[in-house]
Amino acid sequence: MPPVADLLALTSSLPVLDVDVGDPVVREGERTGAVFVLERGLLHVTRGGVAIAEISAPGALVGEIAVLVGGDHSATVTAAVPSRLRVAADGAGFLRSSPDVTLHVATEVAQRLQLLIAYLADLQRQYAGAPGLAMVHDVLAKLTDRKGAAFEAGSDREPDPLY
Amino acid sequence: MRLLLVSDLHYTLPQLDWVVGQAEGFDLVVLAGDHLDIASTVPLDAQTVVILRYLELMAERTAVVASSGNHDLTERDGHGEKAAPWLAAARSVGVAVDGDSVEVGGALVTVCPWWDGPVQREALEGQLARDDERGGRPWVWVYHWPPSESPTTWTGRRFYGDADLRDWIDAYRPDVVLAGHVHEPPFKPEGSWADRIGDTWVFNAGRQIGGVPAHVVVDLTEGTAVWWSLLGDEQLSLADAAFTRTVFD
Repeated sequence: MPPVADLLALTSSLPVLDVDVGDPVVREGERTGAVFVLERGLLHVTRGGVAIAEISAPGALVGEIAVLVGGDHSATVTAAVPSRLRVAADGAGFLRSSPDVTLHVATEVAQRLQLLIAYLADLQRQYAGAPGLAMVHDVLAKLTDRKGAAFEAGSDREPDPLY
Repeated sequence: MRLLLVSDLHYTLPQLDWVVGQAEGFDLVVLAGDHLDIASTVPLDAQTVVILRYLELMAERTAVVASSGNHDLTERDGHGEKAAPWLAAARSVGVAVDGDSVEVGGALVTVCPWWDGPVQREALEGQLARDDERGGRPWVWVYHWPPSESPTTWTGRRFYGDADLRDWIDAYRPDVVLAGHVHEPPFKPEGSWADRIGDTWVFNAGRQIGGVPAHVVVDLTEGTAVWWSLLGDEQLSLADAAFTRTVFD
């Protein structure tokens, strides 16, 4: 595999977005179609109100998953310190704009997936007695073989989601 | 025949773990719907894979019945009515699901799907009529939403039950109906986890936080039922005409 191009170098012509502490970059459940590249700063990622990650590496991507799967943003990203991002408003167009960009994004996503699988495999090994963790391998195998079914949740007869 | 009733686990993994751990001690484990949680951050697609694996683990240990609830509906059927077709995959590992009728330990168990439109409702009526003709007793129904005008549907502000089920209980007089859906009734002084309607006992264990789900153990051989929750436990005799709560004394 050739070395992956520096995404900051590839995005030097994109417009910038400056965000202050607490400003959202994207919100969970919204669909912007944009992809962001962190130039400098620190971002907090939350999902369902739970903190799940911090982003601080220059060149890190935000919003690319929603663009790749064609869905809503699955997490909220807010600035933890004054931060600067580069904005590709047409995220899908940006991902197709050059082979270097596409390869960079694919590599980053693959690296994250590799880390996640390694972590889950270890959880499975260490907590083998708990059915919910012991099944991680089986569940991952099935999920990676699926195409992401478009489910329509909820009932017409019982519209109250609390029950 | 001794069965364990849980319902409304709503993708609560520690509670599902608990059920797997308990399964061997029962002749039948009943999960009366709402296995999924439409409010979860985990996509429904992933939830169905996990739930099916849990059902498989339970079925390796004892007989298992799983009906659908309103949270389990994932797509529309050929009539445009919401349904839970994913649950049918559990049949391949021996779990009885929506539309099935099975004999377990001498009891006939009718697994009623959550019906979401007139076509599904008519199909369920047909299933009940066919099972009635079989004449199997004791006759146990698994039906997600408890019947109207029952303390097993008391939310603390109102009775919130299923009028159709009430009519079907009056018409067919099953021995036991295993339900869920309304989470609060067992935890309210005016509500309950058990109700006797004519010859029929209705049970709704309710929903609680923590690693152990609120649950009901029904022993059809001994003629007893026991409810367990963080609030306390209660028991009754199926031979009794009524039931008085004690956990609030």
